[in-house]
Amino acid sequence: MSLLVTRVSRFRVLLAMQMARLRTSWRPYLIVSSAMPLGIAVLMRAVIDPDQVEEFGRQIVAGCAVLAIAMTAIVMLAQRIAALKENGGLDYYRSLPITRAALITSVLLSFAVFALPGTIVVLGLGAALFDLSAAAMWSAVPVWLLGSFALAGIGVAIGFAAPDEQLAGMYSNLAMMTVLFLGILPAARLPGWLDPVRAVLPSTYAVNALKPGLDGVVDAGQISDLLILALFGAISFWAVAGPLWPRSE
Amino acid sequence: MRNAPAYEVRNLTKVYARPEVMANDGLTFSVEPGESFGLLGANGAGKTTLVRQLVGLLVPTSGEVRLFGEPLRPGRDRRVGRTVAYLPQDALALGEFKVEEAIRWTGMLRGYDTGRAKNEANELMDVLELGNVRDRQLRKLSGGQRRLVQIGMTLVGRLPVLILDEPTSDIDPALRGRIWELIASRVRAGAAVILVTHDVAEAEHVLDRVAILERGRVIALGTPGELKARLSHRTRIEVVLAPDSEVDPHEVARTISEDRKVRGRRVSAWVPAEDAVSMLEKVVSTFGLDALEDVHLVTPTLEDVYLELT
Repeated sequence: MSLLVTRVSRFRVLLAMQMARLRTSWRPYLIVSSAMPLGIAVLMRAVIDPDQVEEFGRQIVAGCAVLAIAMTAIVMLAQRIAALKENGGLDYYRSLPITRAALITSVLLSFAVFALPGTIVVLGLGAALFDLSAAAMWSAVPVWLLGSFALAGIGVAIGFAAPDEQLAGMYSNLAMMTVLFLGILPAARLPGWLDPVRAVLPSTYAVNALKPGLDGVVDAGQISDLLILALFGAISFWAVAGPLWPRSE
Repeated sequence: MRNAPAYEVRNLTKVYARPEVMANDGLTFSVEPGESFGLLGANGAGKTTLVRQLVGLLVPTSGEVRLFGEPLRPGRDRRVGRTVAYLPQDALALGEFKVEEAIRWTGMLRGYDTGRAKNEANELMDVLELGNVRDRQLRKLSGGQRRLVQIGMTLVGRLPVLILDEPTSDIDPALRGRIWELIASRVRAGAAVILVTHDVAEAEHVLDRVAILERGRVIALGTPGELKARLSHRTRIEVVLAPDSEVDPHEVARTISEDRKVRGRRVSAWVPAEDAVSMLEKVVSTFGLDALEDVHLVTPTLEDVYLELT
């Protein structure tokens, strides 16, 4: 019991340490993660025919919401991890009596929180823009959480792999662009050879899981998408806490 | 393991691959609990590489590191976090932390409850004169203040081993004295302290044993007294000329010895110990007391040994 209390207490401290990041960076987390996805939603609303709004609206809004998560969980997190690696912050954590799992969980959870405002803004304004229902918006909560975890795994992996913060920014932006195009564009409009790529991206399932909620309904298909997202989250967590964790040289 | 040294290092070698550099070459030494062990050496001598292996952040190319008798497994050894507090050479970049929470949180991660961590953080902030910036973020502090916070983060939790890489860099002289006293108090309390420093003169008073490194090798190892005994046959004469003196300092230096240094009005020269007093008298009689602001004899210090060997 005391071991559990100790672990919970240490995890709370680790989470507080990660959340302290908000003091210096809440503006970029909010603005960057919401401005670009919202801008794309507005742009798409302007360029598609009015009779296509009903057909593509859900896809666009869900895709933009997942993009908001990706901006934070992939791009910003990858840069943060690369900076920690570069400037000794990671060594500080490595010299403490904490588990990798606890550190990674605290990082993933904090960045999920950082992605929340952007996700809410995009879903709320996007739904209004495309006349979609907000009645079942609560169903976006598990998508946000599981999607953030799954995508943050990609962000952490890029941060670990990139030699410095600049390259981490470049690689993560490429990953984010992939999420952008494969998430916002309907599958029917994409060439068939991209199907395998879509299948291995967690963002695909996050978009699919968000769409019914934008119709004001909750359907069973969401459950399978959420389970797949959870699986992605578990795999990416295992990968960054295990084989992808930077080795002592 | 009871009665085991805090650290045992045997034939430790580290070769970096690209470019190929032998950073540590067959190092062997041990550090006991309650002992302060200094690592001295010029930049690039391999000191930081060595301490990063001691905390498991680098993997040795060959050789062995034992922590309290058990082999250290780099990167996978939980004992390091529980027993070793490491102060790296570089400034910590977690600028979003506030001073008090940075120390308190580190204490809590080392197993303290909130109350104990708060108390110890307060004590450390008092000693390190950080009380007036306790709620300020690290990124808003001066370089010296950030270093003090790092020292606080290292000392909190009272772990049995401290590895301090240049603890007093960027810190003003008045506070440096406090830090040395803080380190000495931890040694008296039974901690093993491994200290990398360039402040040889100041560190001498807290070091029980010293290893001098050059190009990755230990070129001297012993107590400060043993190392200084190597130069005991010599004495240094220090002369400072008066500001209005017209005497050429180089002429003073030539009068004393071939082994000499001149810096501005200051002349420093080595002479055989048995000739020191007569040489001092010669300087006074030749140039007159009015030309001299200060003149005295200095027995060899650890810094002299370090400079002589490196």
